[in-house]
Amino acid sequence: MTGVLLVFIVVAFAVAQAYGSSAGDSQARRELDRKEVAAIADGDQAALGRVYDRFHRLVFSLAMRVLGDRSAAEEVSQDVFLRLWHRAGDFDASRGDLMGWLVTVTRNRAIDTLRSRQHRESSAWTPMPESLDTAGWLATAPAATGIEAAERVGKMMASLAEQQRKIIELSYYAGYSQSEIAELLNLPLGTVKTWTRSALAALRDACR
Amino acid sequence: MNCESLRDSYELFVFGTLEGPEREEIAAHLQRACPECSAGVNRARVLATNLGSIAPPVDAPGHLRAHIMRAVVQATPRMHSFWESIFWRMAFPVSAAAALTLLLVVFGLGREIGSLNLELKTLQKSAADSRKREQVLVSRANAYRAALALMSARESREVRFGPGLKPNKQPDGRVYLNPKGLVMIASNFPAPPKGRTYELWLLRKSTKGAEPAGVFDPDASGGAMHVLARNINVNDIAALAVSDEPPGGVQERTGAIVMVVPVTGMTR
Repeated sequence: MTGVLLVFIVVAFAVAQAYGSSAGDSQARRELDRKEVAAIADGDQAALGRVYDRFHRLVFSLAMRVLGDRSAAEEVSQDVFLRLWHRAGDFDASRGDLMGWLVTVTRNRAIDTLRSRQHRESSAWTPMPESLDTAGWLATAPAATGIEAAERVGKMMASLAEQQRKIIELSYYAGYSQSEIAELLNLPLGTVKTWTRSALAALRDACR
Repeated sequence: MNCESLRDSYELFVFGTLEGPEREEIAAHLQRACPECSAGVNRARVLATNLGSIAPPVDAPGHLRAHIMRAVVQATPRMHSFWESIFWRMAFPVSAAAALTLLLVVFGLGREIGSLNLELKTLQKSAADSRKREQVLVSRANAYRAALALMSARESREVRFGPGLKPNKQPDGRVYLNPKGLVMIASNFPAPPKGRTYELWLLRKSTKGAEPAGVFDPDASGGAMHVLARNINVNDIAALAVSDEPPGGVQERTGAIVMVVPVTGMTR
């Protein structure tokens, strides 16, 4: 348990280095994202380079976490930044944030790759839309992303019971449905649902 | 389903792993802008982003940035400047117009060259004809000059021949004999048979033989003048004769004799 907590503290420190260190920076960060994406939409390759420099670690780390394979993670990362290059014109800063979009697209692409590699087909996998305003039907951009929320979520993940943490990891990082997890872990579906519900409630609280 | 029953499903919906009717229900609530579900899904999206950002940090390989930037350059159509755009837009019509103009110029030049060639050939032919006419005239002038010289020479002797010798359209005329040559001037010469010419013969006293003395053709009116410009022994000539022969003449007579002029009773 202590080891897991230590890992999440290290992760939180890295995230702080990469994405800013306080909630007060959030507004400035969003304004910077808006300008950079607008520049990318205008064909400014240097702006894409700057966005890469800010977010490549986030993207590559998440792809690695899902795939566990550097080569595949490279492909996913390249795909994500090329997608940003081609879709930057769709970005609406009032509706979404760049980091949320990068995480969504990276996760979707990585899980697609993973599922394809595992020949896993399930109608339960319905990834989030990838348009740059995140989704037309979402109201406002999330406010509670950033280092502090990530730290709290990281600590909460570390404090979950091992089976609960495993279930959340399989759901989030591997795209498994609850029935697939039940089968994979050889647990009753009801148990999986209960543990999932309680784990998500704890994580939800950590985000507030 | 009401929003209360969907509350625990927002996160799995955002994760894309929600099963059963709840998935369609949440989508339907969002579709009709349900405020509670929109807020719930939005909070779930925050959690998803935070879960994504706590993945253990791994440094991306150094070459990845260059790969991405290179792929971006390859995927981006090259932007042309204003003048480049104008150039590329006009390139085809201008090239086509230039090619057409060039084709017309080449075609026109070809025709002009053809016409000039034709003109040149006409001029060349005309010049050749002129040269030929000039040669004929020069030759005729030389013949007249030689004839005049022979006719006026003190030592020339004149022999006349004419209708009196033979009846009916027999040629008549004169022959001037001189040691340096002879001149024959005649009229009423009938046209030679087709493909034949007239040849003059000197009939020798000493050898009793006939010596060729050149060929001639009468003009359309039957007039003829023939000059032999070489030394001859006038005293050894018994008679002159004319026969029709192949063009260019022969050394031994082959054709019919048209007339014979005895060289007796020379005057002067």
